[in-house]
Amino acid sequence: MSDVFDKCGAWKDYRIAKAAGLYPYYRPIEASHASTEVDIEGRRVVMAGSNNYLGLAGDPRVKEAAQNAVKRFGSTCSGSRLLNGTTVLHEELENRFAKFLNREAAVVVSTGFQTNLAALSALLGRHDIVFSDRGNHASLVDGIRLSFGEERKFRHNDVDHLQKLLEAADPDAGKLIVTDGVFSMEGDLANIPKIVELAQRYRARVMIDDAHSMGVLGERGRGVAEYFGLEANTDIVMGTFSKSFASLGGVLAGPFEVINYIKHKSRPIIFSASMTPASVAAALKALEIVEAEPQRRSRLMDIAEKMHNGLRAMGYDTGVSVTPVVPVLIGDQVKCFRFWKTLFEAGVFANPVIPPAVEPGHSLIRTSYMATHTDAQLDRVLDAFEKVGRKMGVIPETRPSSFVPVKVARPGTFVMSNQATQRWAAASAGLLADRGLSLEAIARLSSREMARKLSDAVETLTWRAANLQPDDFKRLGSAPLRLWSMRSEIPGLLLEKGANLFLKNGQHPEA
Amino acid sequence: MAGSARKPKASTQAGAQADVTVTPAQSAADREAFIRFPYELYRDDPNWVPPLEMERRDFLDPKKNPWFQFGTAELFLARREGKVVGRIAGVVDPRYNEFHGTNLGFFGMFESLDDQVVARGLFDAAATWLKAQGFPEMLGPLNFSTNYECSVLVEGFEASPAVMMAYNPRYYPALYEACGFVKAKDLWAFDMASSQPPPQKVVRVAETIRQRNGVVVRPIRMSDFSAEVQRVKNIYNAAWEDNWGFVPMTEAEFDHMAKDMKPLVVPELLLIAEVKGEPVAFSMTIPDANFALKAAGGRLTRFGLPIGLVKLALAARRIRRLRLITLGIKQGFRRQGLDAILYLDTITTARRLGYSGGEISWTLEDNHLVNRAIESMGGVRSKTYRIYRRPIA
Repeated sequence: MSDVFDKCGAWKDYRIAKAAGLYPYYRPIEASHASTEVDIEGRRVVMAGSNNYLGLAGDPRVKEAAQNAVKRFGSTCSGSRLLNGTTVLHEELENRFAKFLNREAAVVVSTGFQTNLAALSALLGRHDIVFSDRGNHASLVDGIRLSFGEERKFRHNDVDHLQKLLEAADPDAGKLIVTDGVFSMEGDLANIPKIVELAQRYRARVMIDDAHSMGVLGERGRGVAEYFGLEANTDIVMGTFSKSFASLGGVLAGPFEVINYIKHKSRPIIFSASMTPASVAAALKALEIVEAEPQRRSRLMDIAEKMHNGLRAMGYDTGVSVTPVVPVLIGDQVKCFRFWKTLFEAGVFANPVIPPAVEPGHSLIRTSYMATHTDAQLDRVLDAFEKVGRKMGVIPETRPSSFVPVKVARPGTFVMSNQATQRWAAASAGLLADRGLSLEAIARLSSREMARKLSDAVETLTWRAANLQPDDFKRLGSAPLRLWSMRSEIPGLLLEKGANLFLKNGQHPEA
Repeated sequence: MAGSARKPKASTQAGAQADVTVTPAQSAADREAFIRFPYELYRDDPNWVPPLEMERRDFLDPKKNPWFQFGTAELFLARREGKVVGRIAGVVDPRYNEFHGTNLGFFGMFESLDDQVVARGLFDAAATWLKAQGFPEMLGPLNFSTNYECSVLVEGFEASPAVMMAYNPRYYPALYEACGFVKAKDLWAFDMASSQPPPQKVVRVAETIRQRNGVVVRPIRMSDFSAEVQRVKNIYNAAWEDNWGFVPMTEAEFDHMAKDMKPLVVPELLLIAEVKGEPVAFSMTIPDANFALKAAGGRLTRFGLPIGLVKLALAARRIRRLRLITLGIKQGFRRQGLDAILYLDTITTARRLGYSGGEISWTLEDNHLVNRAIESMGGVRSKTYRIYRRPIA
């Protein structure tokens, strides 16, 4: 007989990471210095892992608005929007957002995650088909699971695949294409122009999750639809307040009938307590600033360009991103944790992103920036990356002679993504997974395969030996010296290999 | 749910190309299959020279091959019922387009069964990949530029190719043409025997020039290899700049090539011509290592034993043919007979070292000056290679 708790005891990733001293999650922040720097474990570090893109979370005007709302309405609404949980502030926020986004109506929901659950669970009926990008945020995935609609996933940003799926679908079924505007981990944009074209051809509706682009992209900051000049062709947009809008909650905007239906039919809205007055007031004030201070957006794009190019010049791969989301490819997940830890010790807080958020072998350090970061802070981040990357062998000892400069999504440029390097493309497709040693894999090899592997290894060694150059001999001679200079790295490397071996072995097949 | 949705789709995939799928080769296993395919394809061809597997791996490894510092290549595999039936690489060389002011996409590494469906699928895959990057026309095969192996053999299938020259089955030209390719340029190879002394008339003319212009021809100094490489590099990049298809090598590419060639080099056959102490021309002739490579069969070791290596080393001592790979003269020193002097000295040295002859390759079909000079030395055309082009629809 099995116990539902069995899996919890069998799950050992946490224990391995903790034992190795590499556990990076749930780090308590002890103090915040204007949001751009924080104290963690008594260490003051540059915050390069927050989604506070416009830097408004620390803005005195926003803080004051939140305080005033608490004074006026108390700390919570103690109930659902449907019943006792709506204040005049909620109504004002909805009206202001509808106007800001050029939509007939808007509804605000307590969290961004719930906003997607609310929209999809209410809209998708039994005979509807939803077409969803494989790279979509978990809230969209779960929203679809919560609905009765049938899901068809298309490969990340592969509009040809989307077209094939649309083509194959029942022409009479209701259709919705749902996609992130900016993909939160890789920082590239959805191909909205093509999606809109396909939607028109196959009579599908389009919903965009603009969590990472609202306030950031477009001349006025209205997100990817504005950036591409296609607001009239996208049916529903969703945004969150926890990123550019210095608060917590989400907004859904679209035609009045649709929004009104969702307001009355969606369980994630009607069975959940409403946004707190402080959150509503903060979002309201932030919206006012977003509209009044476009220079924050251009500063943010300058920063994005500086950081992408700065990292690329050192030899880092920042992938396809065209936004202030600057992912740095590491590859192996344990190495990613080690990198994160060393980076933290060097004074930078960033986020390690490992499977299942990305494909195995595509682990990355996700950095993101605020319009309020100073150049000095950004240079500190770059210095730390250079130092740590060299120490850990992620980048070469000397800067490469050239690099491909980044293209960023400034208004009017219409760029969607940067050209992926071969390594990035392969990693992103999950092709670099599991290259390390696994006892199980070895045990599964037949004797013939084993012989082939061995013979290949001998071939490689022979080839390398036959190709040794005078310089190589010098390098070989200095190996002990290098080993000595790297001695501080050796325990870390051993830890990495060891932890990987542990993680790979004895894993449940279904895990 | 997803499974049931996919089933009817598979059965509706009808049409001629349904059984051949062309996919990018990105995983390690796919790249390995990409490298391994020719060994399968040419198994029964006595004239094919298997490259060393490891050399091919290094060539395709962006970390090892300096070409990848500026170029990009996407590898594709064609499969039928899971079995590899063809391969191709889409190639982008931004330096070429910059140098010539063109907007051409390349392709290379093409190998296919004698099957138009496969070939078409491969060419279309490369074309689609190039089209996405805005190229209106494709040129090839180039692996990955004219500084490396390139072109299709269209005439002269009777013998093995010379070292670093292309080879392919007889049906390739027909496959290319059936897929809409037309000739962009032919490349020629000449056979030159060194059993006979060079014509007396040529010797006389050469001696006169040597005296009059103060030309000194000397072999490369191996003790000063890196400085010599630098001298050759200067001449190389200056000598070819007006040639069709030429793209100057980067420092890294040249050094890498020099490093690869170093073990093959016979110093007496790497000649530098100096006029008043200034190096102005060079010619490079190397032993036709393909003779030895063929003996190794693509691997240095078998069953963990250095069988290939031993065979390679033994065969290397019996190489009797040469290939004159490059002969370049700086602008301002051409049409003065420097080429004749270099040819002559090469032939004389080759005779002295006991080589029976060799190949001069390749030259452009319309480089009349060079072709005529080779023929006047006694060279006989032996092979024709072709580079094709096709608009990208």
